[in-house]
Amino acid sequence: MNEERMKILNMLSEGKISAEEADKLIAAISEQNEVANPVGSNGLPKYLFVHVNSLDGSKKENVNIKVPMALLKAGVNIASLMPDDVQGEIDNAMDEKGIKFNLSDIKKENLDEFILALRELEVNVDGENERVRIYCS
Amino acid sequence: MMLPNIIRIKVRSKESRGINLYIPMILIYLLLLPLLVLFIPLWLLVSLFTAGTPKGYMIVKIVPAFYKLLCATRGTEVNVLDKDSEVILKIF
Repeated sequence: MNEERMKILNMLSEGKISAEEADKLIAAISEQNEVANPVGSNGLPKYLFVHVNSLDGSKKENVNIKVPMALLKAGVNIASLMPDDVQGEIDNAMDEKGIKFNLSDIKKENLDEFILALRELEVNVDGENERVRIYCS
Repeated sequence: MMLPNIIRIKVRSKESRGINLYIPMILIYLLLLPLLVLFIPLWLLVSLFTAGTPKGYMIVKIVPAFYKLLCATRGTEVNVLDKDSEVILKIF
């Protein structure tokens, strides 16, 4: 429990503030912390961002995508429920496309570690006409 | 885990007026509720008959997994813009 929260609870126990005021103060602190530190309370990034911006002013092409990491977790959860033969078919199809990736290698237990490692991910591609940026936050 | 409350869909193009919709998901959930009421006993029955088998495990787990997937879509944002058109999808 952080210091500020402790102070509020002490003020509440001493009767200096009402329960309603304490609730408002705690909510305000949580909001501040969220803005200051966008990652989740467990240190895991919450979102994957993909930005594609056109550098050519006349085109004005922009793509901004924000994907919650929870979606990745839920997807892996569903993938783990797939029968082995279906997983094998998917792996083979990806292999044919040149992607050496085994879906069954991603285990739910290792997912947090994987997502934590994604926090360090940052892809910046500056082309002639567009800039691509991929990062987690 | 909370289900999405609102989906915003905006499609605008140079030729047409486009749309800007805020869809309250509660309406969709209410529409799906009768189907869910029919589906849950069926799901429980199938789970019961296939209990102890790998297929049974999958059947039991798949419904909560899809619920989690739906909940996890909250916060998704897709924004595609060019000089003639704009597409926005946001799930709140």
